[in-house]
Amino acid sequence: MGSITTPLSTEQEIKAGMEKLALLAACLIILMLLTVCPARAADSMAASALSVEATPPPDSPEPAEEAPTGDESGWFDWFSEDERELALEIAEPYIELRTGPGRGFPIFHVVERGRQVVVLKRRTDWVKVKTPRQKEGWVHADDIEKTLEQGQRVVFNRGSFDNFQQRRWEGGFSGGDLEGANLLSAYIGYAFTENLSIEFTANQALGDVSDSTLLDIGLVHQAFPDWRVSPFFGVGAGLISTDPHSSLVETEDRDDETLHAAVGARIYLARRFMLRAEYRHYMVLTDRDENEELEAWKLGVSVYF
Amino acid sequence: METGCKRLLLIAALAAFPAFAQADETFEPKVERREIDEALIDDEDFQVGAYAGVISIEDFGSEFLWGVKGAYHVTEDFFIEANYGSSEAGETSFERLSGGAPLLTDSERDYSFYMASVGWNALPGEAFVWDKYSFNSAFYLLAGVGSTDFAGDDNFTMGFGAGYRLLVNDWLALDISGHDYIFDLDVTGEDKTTHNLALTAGVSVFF
Repeated sequence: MGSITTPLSTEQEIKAGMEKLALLAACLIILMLLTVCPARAADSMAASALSVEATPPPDSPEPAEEAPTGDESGWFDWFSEDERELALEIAEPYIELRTGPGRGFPIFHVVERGRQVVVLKRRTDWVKVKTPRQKEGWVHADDIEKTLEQGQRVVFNRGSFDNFQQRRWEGGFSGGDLEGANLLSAYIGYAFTENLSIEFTANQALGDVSDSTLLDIGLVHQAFPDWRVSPFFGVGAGLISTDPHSSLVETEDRDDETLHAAVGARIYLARRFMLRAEYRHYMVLTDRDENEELEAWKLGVSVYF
Repeated sequence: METGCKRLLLIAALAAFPAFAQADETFEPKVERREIDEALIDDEDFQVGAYAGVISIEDFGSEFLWGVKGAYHVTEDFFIEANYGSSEAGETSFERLSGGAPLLTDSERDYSFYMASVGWNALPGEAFVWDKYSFNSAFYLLAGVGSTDFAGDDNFTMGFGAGYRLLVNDWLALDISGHDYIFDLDVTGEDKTTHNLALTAGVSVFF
């Protein structure tokens, strides 16, 4: 046994060494980040340590606010938050700033009506703003929509059912069944009109005896785009490549063209989420005497843009 | 007299209606809502990153695992994630002890998978380091489906995971996570369900 393990042990040592290296690299990265980022973290910590604080009454002198930036263009500009700034005036009695982009994060600051905030960035439904006192915090987009820009109310274009009806791009993945095999699919679609879209789908079917890859392109028509559960049908063509399992003998890979017809429904859930259920009937155009027919069922989640 | 009254009322109503309509029109622009130019706001809903760790491939030992992942945060609670990982399986104890023919060729030992998952930020929060630093964080759960290419075949895989994400700043996140990748494999003579546990640490950026 000892003689068997000896050659292995060197290999294991190398692997262990690699793992240690990776661990060391990760530690280094973390250390670097900790040394680079404390300024920001300390800011937010200082902020969160404050109790709720109201800004001084509007008649107090306005601090020099939102100094125009945008002329600093560094290497990490891609991630930086100040390019062109959007300043909004608060129209509601006040808005609440939280320490993080979520409903559970504590409120650490309040900005009153008539003050201006600068919008820095948005994550899901939360908007990061900078106040005249240079405090940075997260405000729910609903609250920001009660602000004004040059006397006009502001609406964020985040996911909603209205946007859903006017979507251009959508994409998602699904799981399902293709003639008893597990089917995994991912697709991307582009809508020309609210009724008609083109879709590309990549499918992988994993069965007991063989695996198949299917690539499809198709046109999809939805008759009732203003329904929350919106049925659609589609037709298309594609390729199927079948690869029998390696434990089987005397089999060969096959590549064939396919035609398909589909029916299904998009079910709008919330924001940019939708469920998508679909049935697809494939006709495989084989070299053999008879064409093969396949049935696929899918259920998945999609997002739209 | 009565009909006269009714007529008068009707005429008054008809006369008043267009006036109301006009009044509405004149007030309408004051509550005009304006869509913000999206280009002005940097939305950071996408997250991409790389990770590394250890995966215990059932019967084939624990090996180094690396991979990349990308996520789209749909709401503050839910995100969808695509994940690719790669490793290489070692030898089973049977192969080691018997010294006989290996079960798999070298290329069949390559272990790679992709997963598509839905994630839930179950416990969002803040983490405090001493009294100086605070970081936003989230404990999240993941469930998904995918495919594992191992032992010469693609195998349908279900994946479950849980992880802890720490945001160093607004756009940089560190996370550690544990996953169970489950699929059926028949190389050891019988078709059996294998659980392949992975422990990983990763770095990712939001953009």
